[in-house]
Amino acid sequence: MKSNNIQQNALKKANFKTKIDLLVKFIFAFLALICACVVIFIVIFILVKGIQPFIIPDGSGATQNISDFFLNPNWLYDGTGGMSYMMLATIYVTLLSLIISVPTSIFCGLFIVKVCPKSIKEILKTGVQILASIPSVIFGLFGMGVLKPIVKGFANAVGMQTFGGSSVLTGVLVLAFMTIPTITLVSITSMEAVDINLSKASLALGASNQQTNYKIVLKASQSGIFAGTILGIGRALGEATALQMVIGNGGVGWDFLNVFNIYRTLTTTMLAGIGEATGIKYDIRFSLGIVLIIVIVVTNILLNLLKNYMTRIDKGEPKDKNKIGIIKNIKIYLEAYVHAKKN
Amino acid sequence: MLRRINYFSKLKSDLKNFNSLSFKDEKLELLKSKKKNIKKEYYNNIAKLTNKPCKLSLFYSIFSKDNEEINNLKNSYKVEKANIQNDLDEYKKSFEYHKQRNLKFRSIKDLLRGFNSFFFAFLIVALLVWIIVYIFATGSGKLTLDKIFGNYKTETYSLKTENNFALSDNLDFSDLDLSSPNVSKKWGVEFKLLSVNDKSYVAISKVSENSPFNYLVNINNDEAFDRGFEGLYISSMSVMDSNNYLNIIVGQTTVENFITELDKGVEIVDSTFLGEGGGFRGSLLNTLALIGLSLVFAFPLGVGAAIYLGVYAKETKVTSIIRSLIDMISGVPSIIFGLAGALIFIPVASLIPGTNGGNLLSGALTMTMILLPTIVKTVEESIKVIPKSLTQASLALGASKTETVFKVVLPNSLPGILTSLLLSIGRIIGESAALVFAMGTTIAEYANMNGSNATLAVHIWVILGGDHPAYDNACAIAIIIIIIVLILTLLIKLIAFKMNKFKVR
Repeated sequence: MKSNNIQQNALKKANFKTKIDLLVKFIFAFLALICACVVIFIVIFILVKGIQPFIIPDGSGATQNISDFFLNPNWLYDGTGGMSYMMLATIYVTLLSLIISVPTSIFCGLFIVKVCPKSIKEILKTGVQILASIPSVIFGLFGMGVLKPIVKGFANAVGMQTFGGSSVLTGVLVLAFMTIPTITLVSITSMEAVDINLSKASLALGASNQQTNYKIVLKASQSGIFAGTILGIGRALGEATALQMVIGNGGVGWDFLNVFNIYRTLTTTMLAGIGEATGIKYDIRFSLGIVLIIVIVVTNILLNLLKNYMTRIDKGEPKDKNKIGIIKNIKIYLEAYVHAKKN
Repeated sequence: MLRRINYFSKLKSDLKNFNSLSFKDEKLELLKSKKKNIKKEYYNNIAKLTNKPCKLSLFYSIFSKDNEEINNLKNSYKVEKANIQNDLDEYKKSFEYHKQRNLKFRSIKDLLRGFNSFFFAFLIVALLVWIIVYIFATGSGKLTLDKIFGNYKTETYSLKTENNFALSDNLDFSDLDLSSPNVSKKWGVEFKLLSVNDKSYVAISKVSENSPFNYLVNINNDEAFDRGFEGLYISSMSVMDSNNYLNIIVGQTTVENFITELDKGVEIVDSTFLGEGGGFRGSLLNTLALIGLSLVFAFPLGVGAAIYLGVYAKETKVTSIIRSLIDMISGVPSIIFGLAGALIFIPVASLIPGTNGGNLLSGALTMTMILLPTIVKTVEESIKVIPKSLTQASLALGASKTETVFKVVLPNSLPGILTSLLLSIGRIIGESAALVFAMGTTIAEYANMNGSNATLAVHIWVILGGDHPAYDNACAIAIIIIIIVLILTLLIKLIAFKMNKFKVR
């Protein structure tokens, strides 16, 4: 009797435990699901709110003019502003900053991984990590306090005018400084992962140390460096505070092509004057948010396609004949078109 | 030490090889020296023949074309010279020569390449040093305890002497240094200059025990003033002299002027004491509150999701979709989080009665979204590192899966949890764009739930946004942020270091 009882109790306990296991698993799955839904919620809410200014008039009866939104070279918060030039300026500023930051971070990564003695290596790496963890506001503060006067002096020496040092160039410098540590850290990891036999083979064939570094290590860590660059581009496109503090938030049309002019990007326009904004002046920022999301998603998709293509070439797989065929076809069509126009 | 010696000796030998390998083409040198020797010999021979010094003999040889011996010498020299030149030309066409030449150029290129990478690394270090030096040099003067724990708003006190006040002549001010020019012997107060926003004002540095300044009262309600004069400066002071003339003294003068004007009076009718303001106690407290609140929200969510992904989930399509969705969060820029936080969480936060607009709660919920991917990734990584035998042993001993998760998996993933905690704190301290939207930009005196509140980073953004940005105050806050971030980074490195050590054992 007694043993039977014990058995029954044990069974009951086990049943209870399995039930609790299920419950706990369900709870954890639910938490994971919440985490996964965050991105979807963000996008849906911003989409819904961002379309509103085009359709529903705000308290003062103002709506955003759709044709102006795409074509007007000037940005105004009152419903007649245009964002296309701003979008181009965002991409332009990002590209310029990459021209500075990518070579710097690649060579710095190479120095840290391959050239410098081991005792300095950890110190340098820690330095880059600290630089990566400095918040963007402090970069903005640095840009305002140090870079603005320098850019102003430089512009005066060249014979150009700046708006008290606020200019596209200052913004580019700040963005470059912010993206350097990101790209450097990723490059370091990818360079450390390069197969040591590769560089040994290169040395055995008679190449010098530096030749091996530049022609083997850099080539082998190409895709990793590219991944770091993608991260850097993401950071540069979405940066708001630091850029808003130095870029000046003004300018019309193609002004941004001259680096000494003030201009505005999508993020800085969203951030500027947020404290006093009401009605459409507040809501229109969500429409700009949609544009920013689209820009980021499109650039990321394009860059990732490029990266996959590069890694496939790295692995030595044959090139995709179809894609090259399409490009060739397009070339032929273009040539035919030009030929037809000439005659 | 030994390693360092090895390094230097290696460097030395490298340099030696570098010279011998690249810059000396021995065969070329040999040919060139041969050419030189032949020329020398020819000159010497001519000099012997003509019995003239070397250079003159050459001229002589030109004019004496008929001399047979000289002509012979000339011809043989020409032949030898042509031979050597031929050898040289041949050598210059040869593989050996090109190899040596390439080596030479290669070593120059290598030098440039090495210098190139060194230069850029130096640039980054210089950038870091530059930022830190600028911030510390500008802000360290303002980073006092008064600032850290002081009010942001300017304090104002209007004070006067007590009613029916009469200044007596023979008060004992011996606790002050009466010989100093900065002491008013009539009132028993020591003054100093205080610089506020690049202007210098007169301020009180020490008050004697028997001074009438101890009994000043508020002009509006006659209440005693017991704050003390620390951190206050004198904006203006209206003094009645013995002939009942009112004399207004402005605080923005030298101490000597101020004391001579003050000593003429017998009664202080009105005086305005101002505090410097610009303290960031409210922002500091608010940041701490935000850290606490966001961690409370983010950690259960993030660690739970990490446990699901690391322990329970099988590798199906749904899992990979969940994983990539969580990865996508880390690619979203912070300003988009701000927009979403303002949209989703400000209405939630407004449900608290008496609040309006963004507050700590909406800020914390927004930060939760930002922190999630970091926490999930770091904790999942550390869960994956746990050896499977450990969990299997726990299950084999009869523990249920839940018990295994809470008693084996979680304690063993502690390094990951700690790392993600530190990373999260760093992220919250540095975040600005998202909080500008989701929490507001009003700089408060204390942390509160009533409405818009600024953190330290937002505080910097706000005070730099005006027409006359106060760089020194901003840098003082930046010093705090940088020190915290530095400590966090080093702690994270320490944890990783300890983990590696543990693994090796």
